[in-house]
Order: sequence, then structure tokens, then C-alpha cells
Amino acid sequence: MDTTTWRDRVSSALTTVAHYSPLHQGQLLLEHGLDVLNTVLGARDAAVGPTPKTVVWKKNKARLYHYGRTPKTPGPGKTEEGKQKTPILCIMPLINRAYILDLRPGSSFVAYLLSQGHEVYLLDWGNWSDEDRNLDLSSLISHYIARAVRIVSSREGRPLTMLGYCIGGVLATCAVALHTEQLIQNLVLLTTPIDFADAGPFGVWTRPEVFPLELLTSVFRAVPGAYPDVGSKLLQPLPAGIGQFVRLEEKLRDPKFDVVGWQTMFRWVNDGVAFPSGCYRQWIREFYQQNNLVKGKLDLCGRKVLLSNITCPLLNVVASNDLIAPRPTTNAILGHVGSTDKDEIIVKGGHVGIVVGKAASTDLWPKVGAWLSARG
Amino acid sequence: MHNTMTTHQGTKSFLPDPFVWVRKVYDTVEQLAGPALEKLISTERFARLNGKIMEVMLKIQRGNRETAQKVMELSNYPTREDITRMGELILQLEEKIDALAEQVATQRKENHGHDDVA
Repeated sequence: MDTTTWRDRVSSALTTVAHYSPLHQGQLLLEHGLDVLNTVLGARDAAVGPTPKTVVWKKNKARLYHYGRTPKTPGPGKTEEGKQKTPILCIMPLINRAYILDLRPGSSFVAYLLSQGHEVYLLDWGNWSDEDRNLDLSSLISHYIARAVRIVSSREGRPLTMLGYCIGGVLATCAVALHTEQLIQNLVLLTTPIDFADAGPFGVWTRPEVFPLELLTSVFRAVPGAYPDVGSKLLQPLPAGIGQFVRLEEKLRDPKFDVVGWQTMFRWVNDGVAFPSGCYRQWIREFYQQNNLVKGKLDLCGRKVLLSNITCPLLNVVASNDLIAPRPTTNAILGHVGSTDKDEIIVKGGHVGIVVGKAASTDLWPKVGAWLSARG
Repeated sequence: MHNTMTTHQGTKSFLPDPFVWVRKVYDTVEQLAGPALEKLISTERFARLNGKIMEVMLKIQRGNRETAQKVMELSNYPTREDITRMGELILQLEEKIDALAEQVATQRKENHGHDDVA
């Protein structure tokens, strides 16, 4: 027997109409739009740098961090067989935040290296400001990197592996070439441009005939992070511009979308650091414009930087689809160093994606880990 | 184009979804113009234009900063340059202290045979 009353039937019909009414649909669309805005605006609050760390040295705004161990590590700097593993000192780029190597749980290269038994140190340059205008690359190498190397080596009682990322890799390369005392056991370079003869769009834009380098470095004592950031985004103007928000809107419709992952990456990309103008001038002139490093004409710390002086084992990691440091810039180093133990890994992905992207934990990290394990 | 569209919650809607429209327009534009734009930015012409735009913006910025500096000076307030100079002096002091610390550490190493650089 049908017990529904006419009241039930009317109520059900009204509910159906309300559900499909333009007002209701409009509310859902508005909510979706607000979700997109919320995701973008909330990115600045995304939690980053989850691995515990302590400051072991400070200079100016720079901090030398020592990262704590995870519960899975076999012991302080030891392998499961009891051998002590080589400590690692990470040298970061000047214009990006250092937390990219420790972005979030599951996307932390630092945490991975710790799990492999290495002691991990990281030199975070901090936020450069106007008073750093006279800083040059020689100061960074001799007063910051060299000192950090001595501190790490002294604390650990043994030589270390230097791992440089992008501009940090260039600084690490110059530091190793100049300071040939036996404190560096291995050198690992991630997407590090060395030969700027064919540097892609960045090479075209920074040519001395068109790029107002002197004016830029005289107006800004520290070149704002927005300048390199806009340059990077210009490499793919549509996807890196409005495209990222169009794609975000589409992905937010998928309940399985990793919102926090998107936010942490968005935060880092838009969290650039100013570049001291003295360093910036050198970086553009000596590297992009004159390509002095591979020519053997680069003078730093009162000496010529000769890549042939690098004799330690070297691992060069390049990204297959790197627009910021294209392949011609990153794969040149092996032909210039004096090392006999040298390898190159080509990882599928872009400049940042290979280090913290979804495939990093199954591609780049184990390859670097295996290379380091084979060399202590 | 149907008037009914599926909303982000999977229910049928009689209201067109503007986000879907935006996405379709963007995809079309990216497909048509994307490769051309990426080629354009690598050209000499673009580099020259980019450089000129930067030059103009920097000169405007320079004018702004000089004007602000003059106004602060006339108002008897510390200027950005003053604060920067103070910062530089502090950094120079830190450099001297670091150099002294290095010398002490080196001396101790020579005297006692261990390094204590931190």
C-alpha cells in the first residue's frame, strides 16, 4: 500500500526543483571558485621544512643547518654494517628558498639522505638585503662555503660530500676547484649550469647589447626575487601564467587531488629571494655574457678557477626537460674536470621536478643514494 | 553545446559552467599560440624589447627612489641609504670578528693539535 501522502509528494518535488534550480547551481559554482581562490591564497601558509634541524653556524643571514635523524636510520652516520657514511653539505641557490630540498613529508630529499645513514648539513643563504650590495662570489666562496666545509669536516671528523643545486652547484664547483685541500670527498651537482655558450632564452635576454645590467644593479642593491621569477615564468608564458590557475581549477574537481602538494610547490615558486647586486653583476657578466668558467678565465678569491683542479669523484645530474638550465649548460662539466671517477645521470623531468616531483623518490633519490653509497 | 552541464559534484546542471568555458578557451589559445609564444621569447627582437622595457621601468624606479630619499632627508628622517650603511658597518664588524675567531682557531689547532672552528 502506498503510504506517501500528498505532502510527501509535494515536498519531494520541491526538493528536486530546488536541487536543480539555477540558484543552487550558482552557489556550487561560487563555492568552487572560492575553493580555487582559497587554495591559491592559502599557499603562503603551507607547512614546509618538516625535518627537524639545528643551527650549527651563523654568518650574516646565512645559517648552516644540521638535520636530525629519522627513527629508521641505523645510527649516527653509520651504515647497517657499522661503517660511517660520508656527511653531506648541501649548497643552495642564491635566489630560492632552501626548503626545496625538505619541502614536505614524502617530498624531502634531505629526509631520504638521512634515511640512507648520511649526516646532512645545509647552507641556507637567508634573505639578502641592501647591506649585502658589495658581496661578491669570492666572498661567498671563501667566507661562507669554505668555512662551512671546515665546520662540517671538523664536527664529523672526516671529509664530506658537497651537493650543489643550480647556482649553488656553480658555487660548489668553484669552491672545490679553488680549495683543493682534501676536505671534499665527493661532488654532486644537480641541474648545475656550467657552460653558458648556449644558455637558451636566458642567454639571449642577458646579452650585453640588450640587458641593462649596470642600471639594474645600481638601482637595486639587492635585485628583487621577482626579476628572475618573471624570467623563469616567461620561458612558458601561458602554462606558468594563467595556465596554472586554469589547471588548478580543473584538478580541484578531483577529490583525490593533492591540494597541500600543489600549495607547497606554489609557495616555493613564488617565494624568491633577492640577489645581492654585486653577485648578480658577476653572475650575469662572468657566466652568461662571457662564459669565463669553462674558458678558464674566471678569477675568484684572487685565483683562476680551473675546472681541471677538480679531481674528486663527481656525479652530474641533469634534467631531460630543463628550461632554466638547458642541457647544453649542464652536461658540459664532465669534459672539463680532472676527475677519473665521474658519472652523469639524466633524469626525466624539469629543473625542479626531478628533485621534488612525484617521481623523485623512485628515480633521482635512489640513484644519488646508490652513487654515494658506493663511495662511502 | 548542451545547456545542461555536469557540475563539479557530478550532478546535472541547467546553468552553464563558466569554468569549463574558461578552460576550453585557454586550451584553445594554448594550443594555437603557445608554441609561437615560446619561439618568440627566444628571439633577438623580444630580447631587445624586453631590455628596453626593463630600462624604462628601472629609470622610473630610480626616480622614485631618489625622490623618496630627498623627501626623507628634507623631513630629517633616516633614509634607506642611512640604514643600509649602518647594516654594512655591522657586517664589516662581523667579518672582523669572524676573521679573529678563525685566527684563534688556527692558533689553537697548532698548539693543541685539534680544530675548533665553529
